[in-house]
Amino acid sequence: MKRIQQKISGVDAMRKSLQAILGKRTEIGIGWLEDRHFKELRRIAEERRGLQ
Amino acid sequence: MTSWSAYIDESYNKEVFCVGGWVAPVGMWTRVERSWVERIAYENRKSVKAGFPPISRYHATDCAGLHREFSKKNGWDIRRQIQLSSKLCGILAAHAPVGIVQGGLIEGLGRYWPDDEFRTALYFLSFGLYLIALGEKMQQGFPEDRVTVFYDDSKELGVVAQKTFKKFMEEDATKHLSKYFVACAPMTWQNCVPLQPADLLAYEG
Repeated sequence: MKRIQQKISGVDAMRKSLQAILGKRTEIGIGWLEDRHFKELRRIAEERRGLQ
Repeated sequence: MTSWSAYIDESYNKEVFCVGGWVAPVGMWTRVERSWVERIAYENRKSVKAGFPPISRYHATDCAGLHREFSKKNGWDIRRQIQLSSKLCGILAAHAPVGIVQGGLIEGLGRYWPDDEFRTALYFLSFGLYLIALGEKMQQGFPEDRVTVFYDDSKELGVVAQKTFKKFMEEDATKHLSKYFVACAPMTWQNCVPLQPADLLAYEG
């Protein structure tokens, strides 16, 4: 959550303490939701409402 | 073929929602869990010796903010909070499971989702993308292995997790990834220690 918040705010450095402690051997993949995901969700919801 | 387990938790504040957790072979989880339980037990011995109540588990939000079981009146302060978090991160670093985090801005969804069900919608999206990222990890690194997903159960989001997993398993578009998955099951922190590292990553990630 903290990292996502920083990433979206434009800060691209992982929280230093966490990175230092976890070390380079620990792999963490971080992805964030983009506008296209929200649009797609809206489309699915509207499609479902249309079927009801 | 090795069996893997993924443990997933969610974390959010007023601005951000995210789903995060670790995936590792079952054998690695046994070792992580043992070290984790030992560390919490050590903290509790320290607390009791000083006349403070023990904690029931590690909880990232409470520990970071010195709330509830981690409050100052229970013997916790910033120094001890940082020390515990460092030790727990050290346990993860020693074993090196794979961490995955997915999340986004609540405001971002608000533009398309004007009602108050945004948390359910964000969980659906984040959990779905988490499954895709996990499937891609298995495909790229461990194509012979299979993974079972365990999520932190809640009245509100448990149903969403099951529906999302069902959709992920049935969709033709994700068949090339869903074949690495065995099942998806609810767990609670009371009976599942690996949800505590998931809570840490969901909060910090």
